Order: sequence, then C-alpha cells, then structure tokens
Amino acid sequence: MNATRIIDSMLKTSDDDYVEDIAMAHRRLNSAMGPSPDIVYRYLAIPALPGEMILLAYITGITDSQVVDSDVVSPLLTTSSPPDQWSDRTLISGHITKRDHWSTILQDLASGHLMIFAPGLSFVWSVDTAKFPKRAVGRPQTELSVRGPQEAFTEDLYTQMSQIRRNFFDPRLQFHEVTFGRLQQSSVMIAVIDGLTNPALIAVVKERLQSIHIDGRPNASLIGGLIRDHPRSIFPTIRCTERVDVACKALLAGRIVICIEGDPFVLTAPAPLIEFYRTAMDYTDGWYDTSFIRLIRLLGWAMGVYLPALYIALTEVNTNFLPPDLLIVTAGSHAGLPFPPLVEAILMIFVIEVLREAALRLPKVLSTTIGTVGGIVVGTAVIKAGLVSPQMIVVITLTALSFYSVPVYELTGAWRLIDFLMLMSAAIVGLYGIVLVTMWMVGTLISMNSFGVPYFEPFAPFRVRDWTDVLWRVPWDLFRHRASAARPTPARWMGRPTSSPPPNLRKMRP
Amino acid sequence: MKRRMSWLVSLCLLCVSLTGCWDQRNIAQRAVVLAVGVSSHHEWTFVFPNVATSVTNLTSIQPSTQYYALSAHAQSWPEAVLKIQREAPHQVSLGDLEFLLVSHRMTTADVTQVVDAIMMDGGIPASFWIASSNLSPQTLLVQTSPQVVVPTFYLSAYFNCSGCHPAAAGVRAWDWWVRDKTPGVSPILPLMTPAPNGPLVHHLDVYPAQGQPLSMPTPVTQGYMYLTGRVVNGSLSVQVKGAPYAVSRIRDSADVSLHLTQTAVQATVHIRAQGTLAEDPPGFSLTRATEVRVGTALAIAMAQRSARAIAWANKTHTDPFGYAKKAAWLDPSVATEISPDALTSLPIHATIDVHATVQGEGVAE
Repeated sequence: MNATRIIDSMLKTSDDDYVEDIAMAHRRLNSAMGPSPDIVYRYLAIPALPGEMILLAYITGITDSQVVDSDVVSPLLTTSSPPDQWSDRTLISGHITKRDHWSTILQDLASGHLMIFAPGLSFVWSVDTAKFPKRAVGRPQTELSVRGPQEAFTEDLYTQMSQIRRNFFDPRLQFHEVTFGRLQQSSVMIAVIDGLTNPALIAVVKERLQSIHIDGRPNASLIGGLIRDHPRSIFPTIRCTERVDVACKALLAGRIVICIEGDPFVLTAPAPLIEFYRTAMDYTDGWYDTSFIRLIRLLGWAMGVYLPALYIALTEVNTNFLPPDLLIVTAGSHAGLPFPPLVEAILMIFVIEVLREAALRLPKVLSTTIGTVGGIVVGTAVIKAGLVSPQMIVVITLTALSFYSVPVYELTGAWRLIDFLMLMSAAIVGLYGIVLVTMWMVGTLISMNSFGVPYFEPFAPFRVRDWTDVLWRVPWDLFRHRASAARPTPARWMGRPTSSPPPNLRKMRP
Repeated sequence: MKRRMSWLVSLCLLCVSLTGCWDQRNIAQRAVVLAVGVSSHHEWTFVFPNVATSVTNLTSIQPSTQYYALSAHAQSWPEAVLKIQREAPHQVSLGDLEFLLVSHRMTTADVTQVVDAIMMDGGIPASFWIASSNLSPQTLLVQTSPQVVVPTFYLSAYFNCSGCHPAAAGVRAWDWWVRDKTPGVSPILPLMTPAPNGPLVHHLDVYPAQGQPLSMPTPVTQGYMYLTGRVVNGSLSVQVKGAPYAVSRIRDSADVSLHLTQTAVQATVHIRAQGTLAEDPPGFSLTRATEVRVGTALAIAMAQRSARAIAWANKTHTDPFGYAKKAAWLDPSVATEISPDALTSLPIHATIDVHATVQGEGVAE
C-alpha cells in the first residue's frame, strides 16, 4: 500500500457515511480530531427541536466568533424552522453547505467551518465561519520602485484575488481554482483575462497544476518548480513577483497569474528570459530613463558574468592580450603575493558569499553594518595581509555589485553559477574557455522554452516587433502590439494609444 | 546520457590539448619584454620593466631603476631569446614588445632577417614600432626620459603620441614588412638620435634593395613628409616681400595620380596644406591679402622641398613613396614587363601642385 492510499484511508473509512446520531457523532469527532483543546463542542437547546439538543462543533482561533454567535447561535436560539430548512430561513452566514460524509465533515471542520449536527437530520450543516489571522497589505520588499504603485500581495488567497480585481473591475477577469495537498489542503487560483489570455496556455497551466500530488501546503517556489519547463535548469522559466502591478501587467500582456494560498509571491507564466529584466519602474519612468537603465543593466550583466573570468584569462593565460602598460602595473601589483590570481578570485568570492549570507540572516540594522564594515575591513585587511591584490578587490566588488543589478532575485543565482563556471574555464584555457562557456550558455538559452514560448525570444527567434520593450522601451505612443510571447488574443495593444491633440496644441507636436 | 558524457569528456580533452592556452605562465612568472635592440655586431639588448612597478609607486621609482636590460651576443633572434631566457628568472614574454631598434649600420637584408624572425615567432603582434639608430642601440634603449615614467617606455611613447610631432614618422613592423616584401617601394625607418630629454627624429633611413640604408637629408625628409601627407603639426618660415613670416600647425594631405611606363613613373601630386600664421614682422598689419601671399609662399616652399625629395629618390634609385608600386597595381599589364628590382629604381617624373591656406589667429592691433 503506497503513501497516498494510507493517507486517504485515514480520511475516508469504510463507514464514511454520516448516520444521524448526535452522541455517536460527538464520539466520532473526538476520535478523529484527537484531544486538541481548541476544538469546541457546544450543545444547544433550541425552540425548533423541543426536548432535544443540537451539537455545534468548530475550531476556535480559525473561526470568526462574532459570526458564530450572531449569524449561527443567535438565530438558532430563536428559530422554529425545521432543521432541513435552516439554510434558507435561519442561518444568516453566506456559505452554507450540506455534508453527509465524514471525510468532508472533518475536512470542513479543519478548515474553520462550523458544523451543525441536529437530531433527525441525515446530513450536517457546514457553515463557513473561517477567519484566519492575516497581515495588512504592505509594501514590496524585494522589488522596490521609486514611483508607481507600492502594493504587495499578502499570504491570504482571497486578499490576493481582491487586490487583482481592484485593478480591473472587469468581468473578463476570471479565476480558475485548483486544489491540492492531501494533508494540508490549499487552493491556487489561476487568474486569466477571458478573451485575451490564450486558451491553450490556460489549458496547459491547469493540466500541469492538476497533475501535482503533494502532501503539504505548497509555496510559490514549490509550485513553480513542479509546473515549469526545464525544472532542473539553473535558469528560471517561471517568474515570481510580489507586486500587484507587475501581476496585473502580466495579465494585460496575455500571461496567466497563479495566486497561491499562504505565499505572498504569485507566479506569472510564460516567462522568457527577457521577462526577468522588466521591472515595475520600467513602466513608471520616462522611456529615455528606462532605456538607459536597461543598457546599464546589460552592462552590469556583462560585467558580472565576464569580468572575473576575463581578469583570470588575461592574467593567467592570455597575458599577451593586455595592453603593455596595464600588464606591467598588474604584474607589479602581484609581485610578492603568495597566491595566483585564480586562488585570489576564489578566496574573494567566498568572502563575498559569506558576507551576503550573513547580511541576509541578520536583522536589518545589523546587516547593513556587517555588510559595510565587513566589506571595508576584510577588503583592506586582505590587501595588507598580502593575500589578495588591490585589482582583485576591484574586480570582485564590481562583480558582486553587478549581480545585484539583476532585477529578479532567482536569476541572480543562475548568473553567479555561470560566472563561476566561466571563471574556472578561463583559468584552464583562457579566452577560449570563455568563448566555449558562452557558446554553451547561448545554446542552452536558445534550446529552452517556457510554457511553449522560446526562452530567448525576441533574440532567438528574432522578433522585430517585440523589440519595442527589450533593450530599450519606446515611448508609450509607439506601443502598437502586445509582446507576442504569450500569444495573446488579440495582439493589438490599445488601438491607437495617443489621443488626438486639440487644434491649438497640434503645432507643438513634432 | 552516455553520449552526452562522452561528448563532455571529448571536449575537455580537446581543451587540454590546446597549446598556447593551458601551458601559459601566469602573470607573476613572466618577464615582459618592452623593447629589443640589435647592433650590427649581433649584440642583442632586451629591456624589461621593473617587476615592482605598481600604481602606488609609479612616481617614486628612480629613473635608473624603472627598467633593466639584459644583453646577449647571438647570430639570430631565436638564439638571442634563448640566451636571454637563461639569464632571466621568469619566462621571457615577448607578446608585449613595443619597440625594435636596429643599428643604422645594418643592411636591408640584416633588418629583414630580424623582422622576419620576430614575425615568425607567432606570439608577437606586428604592431611594434621599428626605428634605426646611429649609436649602439643599447645606448638609446637604456636611456630614460624625465618626461615619461614606467610603465610607459619613452621610445614607444614618442611614436604613440599622435599629433605631438611635426610629422608622423613612425613605422610599425607590419609597415616595414609590407614595404620590404612588395616590389616598387623602398622600406624606410626613422633614424633616432639621443637628446638630453629624449629621442629626436630628423632624418629617415631609406633601405635600398641591397646594402646599407641611405639617410635622407633634413629638407628631403621634410619634402617626403609633404608628399606622403604625413605632416600633422609642422612649421615653416617663409619670406614675403623680404619680410619673414612663421607658419605653424601645418597639416597636409596629398592626392597622387600615377601612370607607369617602361622607363619611368609619371606622378601628379596635389598637396593641400593648412597652417596658422604664428609670427609676422613688427609693424605689419595682418590682412586677408597678407594671408594669401604667405599661403602662396608656403606652397612654393613646400613644392621646392617636395621636388628635392623626388630628386633625391631618383638620385639614390629608391622609391620611399611607393609610387612605382601603386602605379604597377593600377596598370598590371605594363608592370609585368618590368622586373621587381627595376620597378623600385624607376625614375619618378613628378608634377607637384601645392595649395596652401594660411590664416591668422589672435587679436590684431
């Protein structure tokens, strides 16, 4: 018997059908839920059933006590309606369902529902009184922007949905629910815009989500890792975001958004590589500023991936490629140092990674201090100790800074690995090694895809029309079509985005 | 999976088998050669920078310790490298060679042998400068200049500075090689003479097909520079109605039309020059007419020097301008009937037309 069957057998026994018997129901609940003190059993004598008692069962802490008292207990104490009509005439609460199997009764009870067991009733009323503690909507922590909306998702699924809905107010925004998790059941919502999101994309995402069989409550990383293409690749093929505006923009581009209960990060798909370089600020700043920043990001990427490898290749292997003046100064800086440049580079990468980990784990006040002091003290000390040359400090510091110019965190890790691979190959075969790793990297990127979309588009395949928002972002009035990555239907962006200027201003336009 | 692994192993083996990559020395194990000198007596001098040269001590290193030189007597380039390598504690690294200084007494064949050997080395870019010296090359190589400190080598800095000198006289290795291997053009080298504050170039050495180089007199060298459009910051004094005028910041360009015959090269050279009136006689007021007259005088002076350069080339049976080569390329049918040696020594019949524009600057009284 496999694990799935064992768990299912715990929830669903052979005598799963509910039999109308209050005392036995109480014993069954006691047996199934155990001696947990937060489970409340409450007997009520009500006018509708003179001389008999009904049983209410719920879990305090995850139920709204005000709803229980005012919407359930209070009406029951005054009603004279027969129990099978309580949903229509007595109970005020919104979500009321009938349950006649113990598996669903126990599941609802564990989910924060109030269960009403009444004599003479062949089923149990399940009243949704769930209310979980949740935090208020906050500001994004990992995707900061100077201008534009400052709203981040919370852990609560329905709050996430409401945050998205508040940006649309359109019936075409639809949510498809998928529930999984055998021990910790939870839901994910696939947000789509009907008529815009490609139906094939929705079908693929639903199919992949429905094929998930796990025990525990999922988070965005887990779900993303299970449904994305190339799950073992170091390059992420599904994007996480905590920003509501980024998620809404993804919907407008024809992508799907997956909201996950318990995780403030939602997933957007498809996510080709270029998608990870689009930030919220790109669409709140001027086109010229955004385009310049994107150029800086590209240079930052090149510096992060290639600088240490180039330094090692040019100082260890292909020294002839260095200009003589630079070669002489570099050789002078290394005079008397005990380690070759490669060892220096590995040592400094180790120091940087340790500092980064320390800064992540410590409280914010301490992490800033540790980062600054650690960087300066260690940087100065290793030079004075004769372990590392000053040039190596410059190279590694620039590299570390460049990595953080990558807007999305999960891609930073991928580039760090590529950088290390590049470094090692450069140490062995110099510039030729860099070329080899670059060829492998480009080949890998070209061969990948994300939910049917080529991962390296619009570079390969080359799609000229999508270059309006790649290395540069054109002014808004030049946006004519949505990016073709998600194959939205229709592809037209917003008709003619510019308004016709009044006659007195027309001459001001070039 | 097995196929992928075998592919990976093959790739790794291929990488390891690449000589020139994995077998290279790191930067701390290299002795960088910046300049090489060779005398007519086969005395080779290799100049290395001080190994302790770093950014923090660039200005504090004494001039006498900025560079050091190692010398060896060898009949050929490989032998010289081998002997220097024996003395050097690190691997001699020739890939950053910036300067080759050859003795003025070396014949064309000697210089060709040295340059060809260096080009055959493989790891040395053919962009290093070549010059000749009247003195022993070692004298000039070990001298230091107060104007330049390490890591810049003062002799290469002289030619690297474009627009700093009256004319671009530098010759790179590939330039020598092309001239040496191509019929119809004579190789040239700048002749460097030491001065207290650095080197000076007053003459060019022109290398005939065989024998010792021929030194151009200074006016001929000037004429050569005008004819080849190499003047970038020249100066010249001219007389207009008996009054001296100094023209500076002269730059020129030359267009040449060529025609090859069996007995001569017909050249029509149009030189355009611009300059600035740097000094005029006391009491003269600068007018547009004066500028035109000085320009005309400048054009005449340039044409005279250019004519002397043509005459000198005809007299020495050389062609430092490369007119014969260009003419032969333009008219291959005639060129096939002339032997390569004869092509270089063909007389040049040149018509020189100079148009000079001079303008005054500053505030006139």
